[in-house]
Amino acid sequence: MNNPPPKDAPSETLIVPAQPHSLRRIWLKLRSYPLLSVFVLLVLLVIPALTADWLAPHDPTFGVIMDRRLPPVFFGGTWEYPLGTDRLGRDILSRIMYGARVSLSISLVGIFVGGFLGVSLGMLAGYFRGWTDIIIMRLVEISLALPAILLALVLAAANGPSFQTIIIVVAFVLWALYARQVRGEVLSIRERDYVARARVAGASHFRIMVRHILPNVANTIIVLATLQVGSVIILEAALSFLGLGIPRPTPAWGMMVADGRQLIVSAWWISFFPGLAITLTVFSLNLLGDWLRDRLDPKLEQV
Amino acid sequence: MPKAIGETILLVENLQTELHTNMGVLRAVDGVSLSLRQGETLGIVGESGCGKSMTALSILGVVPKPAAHVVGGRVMFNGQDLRTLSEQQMRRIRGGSISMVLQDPQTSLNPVYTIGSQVTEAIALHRDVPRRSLMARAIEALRQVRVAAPEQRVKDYPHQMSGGMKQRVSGAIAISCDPQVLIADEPTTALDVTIQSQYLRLLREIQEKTGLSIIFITHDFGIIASMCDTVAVMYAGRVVESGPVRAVFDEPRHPYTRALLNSVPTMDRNVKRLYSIPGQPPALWDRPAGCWYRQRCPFAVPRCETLYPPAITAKGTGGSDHVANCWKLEDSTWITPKS
Repeated sequence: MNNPPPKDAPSETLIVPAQPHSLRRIWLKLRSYPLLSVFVLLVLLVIPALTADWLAPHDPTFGVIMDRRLPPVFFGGTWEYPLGTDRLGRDILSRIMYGARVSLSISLVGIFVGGFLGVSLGMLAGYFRGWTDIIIMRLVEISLALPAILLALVLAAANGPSFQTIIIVVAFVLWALYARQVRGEVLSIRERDYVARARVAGASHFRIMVRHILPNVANTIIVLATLQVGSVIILEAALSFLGLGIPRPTPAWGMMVADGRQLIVSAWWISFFPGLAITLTVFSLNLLGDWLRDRLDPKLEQV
Repeated sequence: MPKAIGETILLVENLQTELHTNMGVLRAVDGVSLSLRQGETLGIVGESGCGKSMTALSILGVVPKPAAHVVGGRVMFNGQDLRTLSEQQMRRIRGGSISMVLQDPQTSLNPVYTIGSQVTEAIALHRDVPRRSLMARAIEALRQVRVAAPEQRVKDYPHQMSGGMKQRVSGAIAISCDPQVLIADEPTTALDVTIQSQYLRLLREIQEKTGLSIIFITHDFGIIASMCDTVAVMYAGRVVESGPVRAVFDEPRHPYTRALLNSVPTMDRNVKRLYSIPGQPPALWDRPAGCWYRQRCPFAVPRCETLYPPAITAKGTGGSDHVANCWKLEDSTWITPKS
C-alpha cells in the first residue's frame, strides 16, 4: 500500500535529523570511539610508566652540565634530546616518562584509598540512615569545606613532602565526593523491593550492602573514578608546583611545569611538554569517563 | 472444601509498632492479634495505609529502620517468641521458616544478577546444600512455580522476564527453602487479572502439596473469598473483625466490614454508582476518642464516642463464632444490615 500523504500534512512529517554543528559532531565522534582516547592514554601514561627503565633515553635525574637548556628537535635541537633539556641538562622526554609513573601511581593509589573510604562511609550513611548518616555527612561537609592546599601545607610541614603525604591529601579530597554520591544512590536503592526481599530472606546487613547494593552503585563509582584521574593529576601538579609534592629530584609532571616557569620566555619547552602531557592525559581520561558513563547508564541499557 | 484443622503454627498477640516521625510517635500497628493454623490461609484485608504490610514486616522484625520500632506484643512461632530472638537467630527464621513475597515484581529482583544466582543465594543462605547441586535445586524450585524451560531461564536477567514471570521467580525464592509460613504481601496487585488467577491457583497447589501456611495480605475481597480459610479485617492499625471467611462474609458484625463488602463491584447486581465509604480513615496522629470508625459509621451510638469497643464474640447462625470490635455486638445477634 502506498498511501499518498494527506494534503494538509506538514512537510516536516519526514523528519530530517538536524545536522549537529561540525565541532559538536567531531566531539560526538570522539566520544563514540573511546579506543582513541584509551590509545592516547596508554601511549602517554601507562607504557612510559611501565617501560621507562628500558626505553627512556637518559637518566631522568642526572643532568649533563654541558647540555643545559637545549631546545627540542626541529627547534634547533638534536635527536639526542628529542624534547630538549631543562636548566640542569636533564632530558625532558625521559623525565616525562618517569613522571608518568609518579602520576599513575598517585592516581591509582589515591583514588583507591579515597574511593574505598568514601564508598564504605557513603554506603553506611545511606543504608543505616539516622545518626550514622548525620555524623558521616557532617564529616563530608567539613572535608569539602577545608581547602586541600591548606591541608597539604600542614601535612607537608609536619611530615615533609613525600608520596604518603600526597596520597593522604588526595584521599582526603576525594573521599567526600564518593561518600556523597554513593550515599545518594544507596538512599534510593535501599528502598527497592529486592533489598527488602533480601532482608526477609534472612540476609545480613553486611551481605545486603556488599552483594545487593554495591553492584548497583558500581557504575557510578567506576565513572567517578575515571573522571577523577584527571583531577588527581592536576592536584598532584598543583602540589608539586607549590613544592609540596614528590620530593626532588624524582620527576613529576607538575613540578616540571613549575621548574620551567621562570624560563618560559627563553626555554618554553621545559614547561610546555610536561604541560602538554598533563593536558592530553586529562582530556583523554575525561573522554573515557564520559563514554563509560554513557555505556553504563542503566537507563540506556538495551533490553 | 473444609480442610482438616491443624495446630496453630503462628500466634501474634497484641503486636505494636511505632513510627518515629516529625509528627511525633505514631502507632502504625496497634495491638494486632492474629492466629494461623498449619496448612491454612489467613487473609488480612483493609484499606491502604491501615497497617497490613507493617504488621507483616513486624512479624519478621524487618520494619524500616530507623523510623519504625516494634514496641510490644508477642509473635509465637513453634513455641518461641520471635521478638526475644537475636538478630542472628531471626535471620535463620527469615526465608528459612517464614518467608515473604513482596508486592512489586518489577523491583523485587536485583537487576544485576541472573535469576539462577538469586534463587541459589536464598537456598545457600539457609540450607546446607553442596555448591554443585545448588543450581539443580534452583531449577527445581523454578519448575515448581511453572516457569517454562527453567534450565534456560536461570541464565536470564530480570529485565528479560515479564512481570508475571518475575513474580513467579519471587515465589520460587520464597518457597525454595521449604518454609512453614509464607507471608504474601499483595503479590498479585501488580499483575493483570489472568496472570493473577494463575498465580493464585499455583499458590493453592503448592499449599496442598506442602502443607504450607499462608498469610495473604490484600485489599481484594474476591481473593480473600477464594484463597483464605480465615480473615482479619484491619482498620487504622487494629483488627476490627476476624473469623472464618464464610462467617465474616455472610454475617459481618462490624459496620466497616459490611462497608468494604458493599464497595466490591459485582456483576450480578446492576448498580448505578459503586458504594464508597464516606470520609477517610483517621490519620495516625489524629485518632478520635472512642471508636476510630465512628465518624464514618452509620450505626454509631453515643457510647461509641467515649470508649474503643472491646473484642466481642458473636454467635453465628451456622454455629461458627467470630470476633468483632463493635459496641453493637453487646446484642450478640447483631448483624450489620445491608445498607
